[in-house]
Amino acid sequence: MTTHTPVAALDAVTAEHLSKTYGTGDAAVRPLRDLSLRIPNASFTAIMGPSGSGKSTLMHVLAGLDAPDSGEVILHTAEGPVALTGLSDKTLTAARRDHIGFIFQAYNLVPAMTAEENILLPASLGGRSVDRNLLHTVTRRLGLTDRLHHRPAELSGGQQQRVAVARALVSRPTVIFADEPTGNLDSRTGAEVMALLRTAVDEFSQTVVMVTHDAAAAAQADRTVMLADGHVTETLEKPSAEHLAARMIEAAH
Amino acid sequence: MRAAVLRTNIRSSGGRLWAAASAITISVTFIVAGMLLADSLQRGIEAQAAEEIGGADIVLEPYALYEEGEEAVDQLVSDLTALDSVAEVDIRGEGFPSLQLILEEEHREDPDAAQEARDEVQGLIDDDTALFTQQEYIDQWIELRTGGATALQFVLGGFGAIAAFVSAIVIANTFQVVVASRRKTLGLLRAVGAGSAQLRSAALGEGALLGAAASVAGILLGWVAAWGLTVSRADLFGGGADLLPAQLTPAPALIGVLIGVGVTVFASAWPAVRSGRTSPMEALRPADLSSGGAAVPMVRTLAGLLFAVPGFGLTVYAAASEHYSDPVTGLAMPLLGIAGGMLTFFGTLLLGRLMIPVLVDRLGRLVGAVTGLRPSAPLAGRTARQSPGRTTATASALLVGVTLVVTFTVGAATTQAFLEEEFSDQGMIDQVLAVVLLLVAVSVVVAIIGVSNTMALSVMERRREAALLRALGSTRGTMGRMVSIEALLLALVALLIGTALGTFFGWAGVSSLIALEEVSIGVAMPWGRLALIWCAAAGAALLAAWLPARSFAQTPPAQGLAG
Repeated sequence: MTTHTPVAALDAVTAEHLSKTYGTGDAAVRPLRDLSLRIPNASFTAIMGPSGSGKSTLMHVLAGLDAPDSGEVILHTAEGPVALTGLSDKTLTAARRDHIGFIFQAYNLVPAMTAEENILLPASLGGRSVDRNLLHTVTRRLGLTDRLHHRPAELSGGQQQRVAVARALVSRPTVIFADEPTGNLDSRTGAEVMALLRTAVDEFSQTVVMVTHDAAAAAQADRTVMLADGHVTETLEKPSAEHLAARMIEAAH
Repeated sequence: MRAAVLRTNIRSSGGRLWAAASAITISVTFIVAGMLLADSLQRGIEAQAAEEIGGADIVLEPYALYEEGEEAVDQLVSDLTALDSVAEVDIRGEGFPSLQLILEEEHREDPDAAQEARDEVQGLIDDDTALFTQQEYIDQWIELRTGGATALQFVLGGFGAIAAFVSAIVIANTFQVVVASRRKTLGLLRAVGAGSAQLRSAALGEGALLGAAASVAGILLGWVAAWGLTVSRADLFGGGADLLPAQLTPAPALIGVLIGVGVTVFASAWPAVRSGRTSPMEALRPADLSSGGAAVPMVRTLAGLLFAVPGFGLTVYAAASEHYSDPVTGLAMPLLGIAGGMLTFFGTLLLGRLMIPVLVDRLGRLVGAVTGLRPSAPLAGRTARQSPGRTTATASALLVGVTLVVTFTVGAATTQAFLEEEFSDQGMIDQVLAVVLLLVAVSVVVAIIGVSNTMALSVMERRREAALLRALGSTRGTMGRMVSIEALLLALVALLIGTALGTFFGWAGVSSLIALEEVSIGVAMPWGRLALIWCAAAGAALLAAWLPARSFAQTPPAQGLAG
């Protein structure tokens, strides 16, 4: 296995002219205003911005969890491009299940299922068979081999996040979305989770998109997309944590 | 502040409490209707007794005299007519008529004169002739016939009590739903200064208020039902005495309110304590993973075994015995059988916490393997096992009703099979069974309300899980099926245990009633009827899960994932 896959020329996700408005009149909120974005394949992209910049809405729309009012999101899967906009709920659900992985801030796992069952959940929902070798490789790499039959309540916060990462990796999705994956963890465990996401990109050639307000976390990514008022303000390649923190403070004013 | 908390609580409770209240209303309706019907039957009998005696002051039953011949009776009649105090002698009735004496005016008014007249009559008759005063005669007439009214009160009261017991389980469960759904609101109230005693008493006050409202509704419904029944079917119980239109008297109303409020307050006690324990931090805290699967208290298991094992032994002994009563204690076998059965059932309810969650889980896996509904079915079973207390309470409520239904159905079939040679009139057994099943159905309806409430709580607690499952690719259909299957599994476990217990009780009941030598009662399984019961209960559970399942399936995947 290679330690550094060169960034592929192809994009994993492309989004064109996304707009979204909640509410009407004075109460209207516009988290997305004609936003366009490309997520390169097999790379680690961070999305940053102050509260209300639209980063959560953007992630929900990119991941097919929420629909934009206008614009288009295309997922470039191994089987060809899949448009996530304008789909029926059933088709969109199947697209999420088969092509998208998720790591959330908290509540990542179904409490009634063991770690292994949680990892295999997307496959069992889709009635697909699982690559046992991959499962074995991933769980060993993430140090979960002797935790597979535990329930989430019996795992530490860091272990729970590792199970979530394993679930995302085993499905071999086109893209993994991580929503504030370090938000609920102490700094040491947070660093561990960031290292795992790095591993996903570097060793498993996964495309990872992470929404965060943590400059130190974003500095681990290959590139950072800065958002403000529903627009992309700039895209930074390999910025330092200090640089990002300074940009965040500027954006907040 | 307490009133403010109570107001906030009631505003935030939604429809769940009404569903719980309806359980109490149904129970109180039964108890009150039973008392009013019994009262109406009693008054009907009294009215008929008064009519029977037709204003006579003294009744003689000279039955022994008839053996000596008509002349002896005629002689007595003419002797009686000759007395100054006697105004009239009526001969009433067929075959061996009774003699009804009406006294002269002055002997009726004055108690001393009446006694004097009675003594004179007494002097004319021998020891074998019975003499009754008007009051004595009415009392005796009623005593011969009110067995029916008392039995009626016991039967309807008994079914009402069973419904009240099931209601208590359902209400306790519902209050937990409501307290859980209010966690954030309660936390906020605590944060702005509500004391835990205030939250506790507000919850208890809410229970009392709800119980009172539901009882009043139950009393009115019971009155209307009893009145309608007495007016439309005055000859309901046959036996000559007509039912008089039911009247609402203070006693049944008071008893109805006491039972309704008592059961509700009792059932809301534990949720109220939990409500009081809410920490002010709850308002800020995101929902945690539930740890689930708390250990089963050892005491409960031991108590369950202590009830169930001797109870089972006693029931088998009563059923197998060839005596009508126990030679040592002198107690009647059916009585011992009933006591044993109740002990067995109570023990089973206590052991339910041990068996039911595991059974639901296993059954979920089985259903998943058989129908291919994976992962919905196994996950539904596992989820139910995650909240073992709630799952047990819900299935137990249903278990009460199912056990009763199966007991009576199997009992009737077994009796029928036994009597087949001796009597051909099976219609009556079917008729009695139909009435009894109608009564038992009440507790099943109450329990189904409980299933609906439990599913609503389950869904409410699992909002975030629902969002997660939707994000990971669960279709709405799969989500809805998960909730429906969970309700179905609860019903199936109640049906399994209830059918086993009911079959045993039905056979044991008939066997303890029929204490004949060299007769062994074979249990007759009414398969068709049992299948009907299973389908009805499963269908009702699915219906109860319909709204919660829909709400679970419609969780937006982007909601509730952050924070």
